[in-house]
Amino acid sequence: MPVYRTNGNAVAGGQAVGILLLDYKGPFVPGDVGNASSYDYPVVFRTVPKATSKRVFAGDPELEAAVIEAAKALEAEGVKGISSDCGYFVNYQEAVAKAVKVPVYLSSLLQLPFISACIGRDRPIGVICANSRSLGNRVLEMTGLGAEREVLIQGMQDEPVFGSSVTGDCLQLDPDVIEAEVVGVARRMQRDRPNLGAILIECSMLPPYARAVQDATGLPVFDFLTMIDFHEKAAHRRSYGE
Amino acid sequence: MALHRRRPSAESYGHAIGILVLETSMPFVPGDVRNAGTYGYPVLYRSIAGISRADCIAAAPKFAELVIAAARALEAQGVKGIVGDESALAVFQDQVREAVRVPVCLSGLLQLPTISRTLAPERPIAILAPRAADVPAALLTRPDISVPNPIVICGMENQSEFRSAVLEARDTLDSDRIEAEAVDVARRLRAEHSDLGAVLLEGAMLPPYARAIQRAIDLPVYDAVTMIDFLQVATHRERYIGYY
Repeated sequence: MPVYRTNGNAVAGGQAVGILLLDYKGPFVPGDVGNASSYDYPVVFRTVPKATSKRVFAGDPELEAAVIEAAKALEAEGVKGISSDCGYFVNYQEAVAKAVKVPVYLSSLLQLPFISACIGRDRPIGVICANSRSLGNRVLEMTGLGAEREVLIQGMQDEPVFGSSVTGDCLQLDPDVIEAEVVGVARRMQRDRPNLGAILIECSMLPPYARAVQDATGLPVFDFLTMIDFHEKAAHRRSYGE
Repeated sequence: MALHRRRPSAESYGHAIGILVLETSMPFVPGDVRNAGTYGYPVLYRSIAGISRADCIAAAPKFAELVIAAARALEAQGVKGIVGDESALAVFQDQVREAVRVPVCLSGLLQLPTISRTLAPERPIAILAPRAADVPAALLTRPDISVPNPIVICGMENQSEFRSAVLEARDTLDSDRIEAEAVDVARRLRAEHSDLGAVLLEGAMLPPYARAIQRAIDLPVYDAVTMIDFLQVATHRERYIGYY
């Protein structure tokens, strides 16, 4: 066993990944980035004060200091990676990566270059997000994805239940109904573009439905949790059996 | 249970990932891409007959046909992703991904952009390879691999046990000695580049030492196995059964 030192900044030891949260109190069902039981390893959450979805979507520069402060507090607790529960935190990706030493992966979209490298050149990537009106090329460019890859962006804003509940402040949420809505969106994307190569579920509230989307489409499905699991494994390497 | 269909070309079912391998032979220790116990899920290996590492580097079209045929055979068996055991196969990445419908990752270097984005662009990323020459400059400038971070390439070719057991393909291999050699190389890398952000182990035979390297230098360590696990997770999603 190595030697362990007291860490006055930590309430508890052993937190693998730190997750920045929007200032939002939705129900976070299992599979949601904001649900601790979505992970096979311990994570620690930290709300960024006054980080409303509106400000984060817009990349409000006045919020940057608070995002960095929360990330530094997570790093001080001992986490080996920092993620978030809203892909638009990508607006602060560079600033946070400069401010801490551990890997920072604030948006599921950061997986796009890898997905693009492993599927055929002419196959589009389908991105399912909460609201396609606010996810534009500017955000895609931040991910480092080459311009030659076609990306189809489909929002959930017009789905009756998701659109009316989750994007506002909701008090309850029926995952079965939302699952049917997400699967419908994915099926329509694949019907319109049968050559679809992979699906990236951008929104942190939608990984609970990744399995259903995969069952419906037969495609690789990436989301926040595939990304967080990937970087967590690289930050906490395990021994291989003897 | 859903309806299952017979696949005439499948000898057995349930393999998650297919692994293309060249006809090389040496001890494949736990953690090596070519040790089936490395994975938490079943993998299926397929040798590409009649092709050597040198042939891959030459990348003659007839060899591409052999690699594509092997990849198609794996796909027909039902695997949901295809990877390779040898960095030299990376030259076939584009041809193979066009030839099959499942995602293809023939080089661990494809992780570089994803790693790069997690770090400030001025922090170096180290690539530790069996031989430094295994990481050709041409591969690093591919648009889907090239990154803004400085890349530090370091080889294991001057480490005595690694050289004689792996590079000269002896029949025995002392993994404790290779681990000590790999840790030593990684410590020197870290000492020379105090701002190092991450290490990427290139090739199939270094992942067994990833944990020891990480304990010595306290940095994220990526390799072929982190990539294969990533691919497996995305192609075999599970339901989340959690708490409140």
